[in-house]
Amino acid sequence: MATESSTLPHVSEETASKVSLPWLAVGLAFVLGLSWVTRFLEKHIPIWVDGGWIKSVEFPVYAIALGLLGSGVIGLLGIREKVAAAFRTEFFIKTGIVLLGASVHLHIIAKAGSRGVLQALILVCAVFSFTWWLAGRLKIADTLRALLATSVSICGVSAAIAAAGAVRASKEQIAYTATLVILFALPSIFILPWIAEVLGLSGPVAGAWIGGNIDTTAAVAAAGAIVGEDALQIAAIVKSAQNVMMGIVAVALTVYFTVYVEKKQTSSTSSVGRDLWDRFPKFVIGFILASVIATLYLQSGGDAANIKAVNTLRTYFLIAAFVSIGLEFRVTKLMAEGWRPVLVFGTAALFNLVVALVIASVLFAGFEL
Amino acid sequence: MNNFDSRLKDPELSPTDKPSGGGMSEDWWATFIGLGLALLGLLGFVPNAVLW
Repeated sequence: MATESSTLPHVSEETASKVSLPWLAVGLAFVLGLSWVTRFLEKHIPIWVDGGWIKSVEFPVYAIALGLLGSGVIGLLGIREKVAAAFRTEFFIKTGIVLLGASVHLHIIAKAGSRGVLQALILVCAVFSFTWWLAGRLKIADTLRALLATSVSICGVSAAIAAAGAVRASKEQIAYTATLVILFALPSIFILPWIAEVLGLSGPVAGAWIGGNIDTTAAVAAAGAIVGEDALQIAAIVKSAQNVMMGIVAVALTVYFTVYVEKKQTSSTSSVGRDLWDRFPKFVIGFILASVIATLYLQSGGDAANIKAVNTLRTYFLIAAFVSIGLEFRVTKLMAEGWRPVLVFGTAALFNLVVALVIASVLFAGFEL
Repeated sequence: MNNFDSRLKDPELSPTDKPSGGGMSEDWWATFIGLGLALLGLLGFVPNAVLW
């Protein structure tokens, strides 16, 4: 059952034996170079372009675009197989998730009272269940089904990667899910604040609605900021509460796939406990530890500027991850998945919009920070 | 094979595409590197030059 390799995990033994260190170094340099360009564009384009929607375009867009461009280049040069071992999407994102833990401050979540946590709990359960059910009706593979449900209900790509560890999804399925998350998050940054204004939502209600809908944390902050300071703070709290759910859902999926799906497929008689441990995404432990450490750090009078430094480090790893997603992206593999996952994701996003609006309107009506 | 069973089949994977996740080494490496960097950052040991 265990699929561990002590040197190059997630690269088959046959492939690992062919990996040469010089080519690995070339591949890493390529990823780091594109990551640097991504960071440069993210920082400078808003300065070059005065105003307009492009100011709100986040690094995942530049990273994936550059990754796709790089993919074309290495394809033309005929070195794709040689450098592919350096495209460590999952490692980069897993490390980024551990660092993300440092921005999830448990005392702030507690300060927001039970409202944010209650909204996250109800919303994640409702949206996850709906997406899981809909994907099942459309006969989508259980692994992709888990990725779609976790990403749309919790926090996008990060949650999808956590789920991917538990259900052992393929790289194509991760790339597919990441693409959908980004495609849906981009317009949401502008559409949700506009709808909030049209509906006349108060700052806290709008923030809770935005935090419960947009999948990427950075996009949540961008949309919240458009509405106002109250909305921004509540959106960040609700999002943090949802991020905490990532660990819980990862454990639940691990148990479900080990005890139910995997056993049904293989009729294996191996130890369930061992299987659970093999599958469990261990970096979730790092995520929780980082959250506890950062909370204790801030409570003992630590400098908040250092949290920002950790957040910047997290951004570096996530940029490298999205560049790798672009480099590994193969359209033909995605085409095989068809239109059904897009339909599921889009419908689930709409469901999320409506349910979150109802919950936020009930829980945050008259709420003041 | 019923519908449920057919859903369990993943799309065809290329030889280098082992299913993601579950790899002990990668998960632990990510955990230790992530926690190490987080601690360095919290203790103020990340140079400003890196944080551009």
